[in-house]
Amino acid sequence: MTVRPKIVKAGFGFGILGGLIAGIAALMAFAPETAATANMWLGFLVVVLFFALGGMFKTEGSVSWGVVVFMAALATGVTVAVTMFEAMDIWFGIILTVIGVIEIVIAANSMTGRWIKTDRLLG
Amino acid sequence: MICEKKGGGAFAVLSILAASLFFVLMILAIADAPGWVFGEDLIEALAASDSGVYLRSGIAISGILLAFGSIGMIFNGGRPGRTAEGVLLMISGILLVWVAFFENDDPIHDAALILVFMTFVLALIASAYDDFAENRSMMFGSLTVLLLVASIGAYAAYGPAMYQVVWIVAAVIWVMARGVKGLCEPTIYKRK
Repeated sequence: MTVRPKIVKAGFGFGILGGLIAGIAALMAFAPETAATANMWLGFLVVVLFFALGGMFKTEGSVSWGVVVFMAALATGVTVAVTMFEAMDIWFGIILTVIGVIEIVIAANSMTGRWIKTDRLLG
Repeated sequence: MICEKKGGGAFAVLSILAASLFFVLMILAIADAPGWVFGEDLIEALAASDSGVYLRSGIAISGILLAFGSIGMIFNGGRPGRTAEGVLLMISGILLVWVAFFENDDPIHDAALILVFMTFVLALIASAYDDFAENRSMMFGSLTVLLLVASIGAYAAYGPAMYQVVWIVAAVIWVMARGVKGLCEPTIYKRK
């Protein structure tokens, strides 16, 4: 059974961390007024994307390397868009964007690609 | 037999030049126009002002350079995504020259502007397809996706004056990154 490379474990960790931070940001965007519902929805979209991205770095993940990189870029892009829309606090947005860029670098790494394409199947 | 050769760098340099010149001339136009306010006034207002000659020159020159820089992508040994990207960017570059030469109130200017936008977005999609196909260029593909999504977000979040600038900056970043990618990528020629 092959061992997951450290960089892949880091990808999982950053994905979960991003999801948790996005969840906190979404909850902090809550307000009784109706208009804030849209902000929470956008915040939870970011939560879902980061958790899904983290899950792709697990041994049980089933998507291809290209999809993992695409998802990392999508999560980061959506984070930037949601921050521009002011649906979450800008500091949360900056932290999540940094985490997203780290995830893109991890996902695009050749070691991650090799693990996803071959070693994960052997595991 | 496939012969791999490092080449096509000249075309990539043209792309980098296109983005750089446009950006520098746009900054020059903004600096020279005291009445134009960033984020409040449209780019069209800048182009119609006395300082608009810098912006229009930048648009025209960058369009020509972009069109020539895309030639190298069209003849690349059988990659349909890259060929489509090259053709679309060439059309986009030619149309940019029309945008520069026709006045703002001319229907041809508006039509060319819409077509530039459409062909450029299609070129981005073709580029993303080429990059993710066979896991060819992951970092550049992810940059394309990130800029596309962020641009959509800017359209939803901001008014026209602001999202125009966001789109222009995103396009400049993408063209420069594409040029750098072209410098690093070997040109593959297939021999029969």
